[in-house]
Amino acid sequence: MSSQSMPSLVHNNNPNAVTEIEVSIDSFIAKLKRRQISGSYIIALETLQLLKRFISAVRWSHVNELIAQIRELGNRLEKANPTAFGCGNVIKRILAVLRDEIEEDMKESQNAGASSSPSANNLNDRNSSAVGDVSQAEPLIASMFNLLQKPEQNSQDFYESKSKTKTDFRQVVIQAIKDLIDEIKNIDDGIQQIAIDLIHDHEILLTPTPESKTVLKFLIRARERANRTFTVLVTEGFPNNTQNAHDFAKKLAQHDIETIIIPDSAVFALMSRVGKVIIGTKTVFINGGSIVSSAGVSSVCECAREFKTPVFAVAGLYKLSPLYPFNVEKFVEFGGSQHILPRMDPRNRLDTINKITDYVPPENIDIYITNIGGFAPSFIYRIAWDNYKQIDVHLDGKQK
Amino acid sequence: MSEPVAETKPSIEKVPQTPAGGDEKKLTNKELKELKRQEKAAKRSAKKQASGISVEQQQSQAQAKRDKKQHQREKQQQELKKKEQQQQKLLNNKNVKKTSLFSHLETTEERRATLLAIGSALNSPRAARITAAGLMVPVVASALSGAKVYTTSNLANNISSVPDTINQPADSSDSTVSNNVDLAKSLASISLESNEVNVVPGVSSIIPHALKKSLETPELVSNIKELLINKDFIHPVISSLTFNLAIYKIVGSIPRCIAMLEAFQIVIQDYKTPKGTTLSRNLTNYLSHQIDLLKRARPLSVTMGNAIRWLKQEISHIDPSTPDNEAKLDLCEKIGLFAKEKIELADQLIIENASNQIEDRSTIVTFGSSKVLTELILHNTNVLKKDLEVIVVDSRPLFEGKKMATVLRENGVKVIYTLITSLDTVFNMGVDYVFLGAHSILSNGFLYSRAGTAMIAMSAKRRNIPVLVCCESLKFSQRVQLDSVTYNELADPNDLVPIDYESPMERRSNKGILLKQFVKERHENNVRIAKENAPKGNKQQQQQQNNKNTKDERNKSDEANGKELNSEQSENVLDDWQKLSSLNIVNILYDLTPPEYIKKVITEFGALPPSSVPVILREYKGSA
Amino acid sequence: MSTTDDFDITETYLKFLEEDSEMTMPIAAIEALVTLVRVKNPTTAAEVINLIKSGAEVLVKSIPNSVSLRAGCDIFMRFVLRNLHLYGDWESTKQHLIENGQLFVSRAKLSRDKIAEIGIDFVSDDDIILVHGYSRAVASLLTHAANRFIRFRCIVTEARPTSQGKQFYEFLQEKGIPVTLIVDSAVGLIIDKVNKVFVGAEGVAESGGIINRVGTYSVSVLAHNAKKPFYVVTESHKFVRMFPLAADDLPMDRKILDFSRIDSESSLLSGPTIDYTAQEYITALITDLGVLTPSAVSEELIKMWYD
Repeated sequence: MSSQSMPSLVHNNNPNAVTEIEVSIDSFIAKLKRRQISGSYIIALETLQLLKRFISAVRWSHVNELIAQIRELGNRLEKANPTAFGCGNVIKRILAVLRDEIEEDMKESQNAGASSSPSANNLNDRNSSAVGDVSQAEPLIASMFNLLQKPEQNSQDFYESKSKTKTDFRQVVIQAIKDLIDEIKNIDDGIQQIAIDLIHDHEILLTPTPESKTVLKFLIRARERANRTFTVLVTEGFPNNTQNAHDFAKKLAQHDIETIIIPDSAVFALMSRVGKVIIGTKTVFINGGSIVSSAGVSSVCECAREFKTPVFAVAGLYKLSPLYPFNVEKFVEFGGSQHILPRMDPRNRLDTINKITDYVPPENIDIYITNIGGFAPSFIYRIAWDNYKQIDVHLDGKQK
Repeated sequence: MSEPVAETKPSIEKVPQTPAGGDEKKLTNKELKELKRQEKAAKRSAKKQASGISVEQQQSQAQAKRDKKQHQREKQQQELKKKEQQQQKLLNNKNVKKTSLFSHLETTEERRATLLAIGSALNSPRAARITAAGLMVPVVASALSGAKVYTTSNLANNISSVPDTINQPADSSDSTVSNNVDLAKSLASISLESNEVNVVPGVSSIIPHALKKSLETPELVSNIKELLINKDFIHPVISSLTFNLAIYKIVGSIPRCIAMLEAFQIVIQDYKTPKGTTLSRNLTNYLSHQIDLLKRARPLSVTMGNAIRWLKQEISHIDPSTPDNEAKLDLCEKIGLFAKEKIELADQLIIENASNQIEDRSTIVTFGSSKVLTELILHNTNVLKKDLEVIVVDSRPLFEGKKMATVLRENGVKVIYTLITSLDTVFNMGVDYVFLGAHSILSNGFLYSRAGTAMIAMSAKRRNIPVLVCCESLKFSQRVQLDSVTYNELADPNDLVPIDYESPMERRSNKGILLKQFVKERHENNVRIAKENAPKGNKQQQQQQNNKNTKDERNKSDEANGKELNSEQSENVLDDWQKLSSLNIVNILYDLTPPEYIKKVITEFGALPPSSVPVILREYKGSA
Repeated sequence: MSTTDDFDITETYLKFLEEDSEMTMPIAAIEALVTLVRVKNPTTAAEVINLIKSGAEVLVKSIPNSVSLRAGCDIFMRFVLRNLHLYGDWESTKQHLIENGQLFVSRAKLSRDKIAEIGIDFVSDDDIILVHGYSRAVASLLTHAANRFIRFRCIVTEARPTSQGKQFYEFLQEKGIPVTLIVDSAVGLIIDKVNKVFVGAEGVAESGGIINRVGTYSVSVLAHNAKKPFYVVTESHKFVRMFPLAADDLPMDRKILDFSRIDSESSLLSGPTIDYTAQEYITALITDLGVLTPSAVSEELIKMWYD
């Protein structure tokens, strides 16, 4: 794999920087492959750190090359662990920022440069782009008129009217990475502001995703700052999550929140008494469905649907992914069978299934609370297109 | 002694304040009192001087008295505080450990407490138990045997007042009846006011603290008293059945019913009608005592309830003129026939009926373990030679599905074993039918079955997969219920604490739990003794020594200052969940499935929609 | 107005359709309108707008029940208005439109290929796919999948009273895809055995629902009941400015239910030919802009029309 990226770095003057960064990339990829690093928060932050160093180390002559290299990196990371969407998400965010910057730059340069027919240029501007995408605000709308537009302009134009230097772009990207890191670290405030109002006193809540730190912090905050009294039911999520569930329940109880641990089979029995279901997510897809890191959550949400209990999902913006789950089986992780059948009679083999993550379809979720606001699942696609570019959805293959 | 001493200590005493008057008056009153006191003190010291004690000596004596009194008072206050705290703690713990959702249901702790108490009274009136605190003999034993027995346990020490009352009547008479009466009287006279009450006879120090607390509720104690009064009526086979039921050795509504009927057969055979009454009148009463004990193990299942009702009816139909032996034989035969008809033959009919539904090469999902379903699947694969794939869904903590999966696999059936958390994937595997077993079906069509059944039925319905329930008519109940919370059975919450793959039965069986408990208590005792004997400086040293003395497997806690050591199973996060007042664990056994999720109920009368259950109940009122 | 009689827009439209069988109706409409503009050569903005409006009206009236035709006219109208509004320059736009007539047609064809690329992820091995009505977009998608050696089977409904079902059946057979033909009334019977449903669309309404061959609504309701995904495969230029309230709330020249006496046999089958499927029955729309949920479509349409 590392040999493939070598040609793109052929321009570089500093071999040491390259090999150093290659080493870090390789070790990160190894960690991802062996699942030594897990949890979207950690993965996202580490990816961003890696990307920062990558940008500083890598050499490029034209900004398109930079984009290509970042895509290459993102592709490798995604392939290392296809179910860890955190890497891909943050890389695509940065790419979107970079492309925006290029767009801005191009516009400026064209406006600044003398032009015979300003309207023609404007038309060009509107209807074409150097890097294959239309203006940011209306990606889809304008493309409906793609049919009737002028043939696309040559990207050669861009080389002549470059107003920003390479270092400027690098600055921009590094700033963007810093901003994104800040955002990721501070999602709790945004989420809690909105979510606190959704819980009232003397309510019974159900949390089937005890491994979510966001949910834990949010519940503790609700108890301490807003001083709400509520009861939390925690499902065990055997076999992979039970340790987490017990820890979670203990922590809540230590903060003086009334907590009740229930086995997974009792969910339907108690659902009639539950006021709300809160889940933490691992990834949110563009159709509004999400992947959660506990098994059994999908059945819990179906139960909630039956009883018309509202389900609300908390997720930081960095968990939003522009992918559409065509084939859910590809995105759901399965674990080893030793957790379900630790001992087995070799003459009587039993087949078994051990799910680690679960997919919740959008019709079972009522609202997503993110650090930038609350959204219905049917509106998630808009937020995604605000932050990602369509061309970056699939990092493999050429840019179309 | 207290008054004069008090007067010499104006600093400690509260100054009595006059309610009325302004500041000036208060001051003057105070001054007056001061003057009076001083005068009195002067008089006394003059007296003492006269008797030869010098002033300095007097002063030092007075000082000594003061100190002593203060010390005493402080100690008293401390003790009082401690007692209050303990009481508060006990109250707190008692109140909180019942969750708000299920406070109307009996917890396993209470049941276990009752059973232990009765069990020890029943089984070993003369046996002694070795406990960490020394040789312990149940107090009742001493009462009946008439001898005064010494015990070194703190528990027995505190009810030292009791043995006197019990022992006295025991000395006088021999007959068991009067003994019982007196015993009852003495038990009734025992009050619950003292803080460290251990009223229930036969208490051993092995009972965990939780039980001791729960033994303080008056209802429980009165229940136990009732049972104890009648303890001689209880047949040993019933008491062993009770214990088997309580430790989940016999699970499932049909197995329990069968076990109960077999036990009743033995009981009836051994029964002797007392003088002055007939079999048909007295036997019912006698059986009621047995049933009372059985109820203490676990709430009766619907099958057991129906069977008992039928049995009582049969007994009442017995002609009083028939000789006892004949009547008893007859009854036993009838019981056997009842079991055969209602269970075995019914199962066969159900299997026949259901086999018509199952097509070749289909995938079946089942949940937990059900006798009739196992037989159904085996019949279809082995006798009818159909190619079936079975997916067994299982859940914690009982892991009943494993049993069923093993049995099926041993007979060559293709089995996939999963947990209830993977339901989503299971149903995406192209399932044709869902077969469920039942504990009972209620009169309004709801299915009352193992917790988790409802979830499976709901998921299946959502995916348009038919749900079929196999249920003998013995399981039909007249009750109605709308949701799973109003009536249910709570199992032991501690079963959820260890995170492993064994059912509670396996876990408790051969691991020497009592031995572990003994060692733990021993260690705690040592710690306590060390604390009391050594001054604070040596405490750490002593405890470290104690630490070294314990087993290696134990996890040592970090600080050595007075923290309790955890037991061997301290890998569990929730081992001390009882201490956190906000934390609760709920482990319910059953849940309720609404009839709209069920397509068909297959009984020995044929297949019905779930809404027709009351029809069957009505038509076959005699046998149901 | 008398001079414009020489130029019959309907004829032009029909000629376009004849000449190129791959062309879809909206493209033909746009081409016809472009030709109209070229011939008439208006100079002011107001003239342009009027010309196009009248041309579109004539076209729509002459070809009955053609929703996609309306879609094409609507889009063209909107594009022109927009450019005029924003830039006030008609000349360059006109040039562009006139010169690149062919370009639009080729782009439209390309869009079908694009759809097939995007939609291929939805077809997996061992799938049983139900299709209703003969849509070229669906046909291209399925051929694409077959060419990638994905093994799937198709069930085609007859789609009476037209003969589309039969045509599609033969088409798929030629391509070597295992296919079977069923009557429309049998959909409820077999829906549990199907994995997914693909239909095309004549037009996509503002609500995100679609207008398609009659029978689509019934199939969508059955699929919804059986929890099977229902996908609509369509190009993006079929978005039309309509918002029907119910399945029969469509502009049609015939009455849907006609209880008056019917004499001839043939008129028994001359019932309504299109119906409307609401957005709650549609899982996703596969378009050349990507996979969209119905709410995304309605957002785009709202943005397009309500400026």
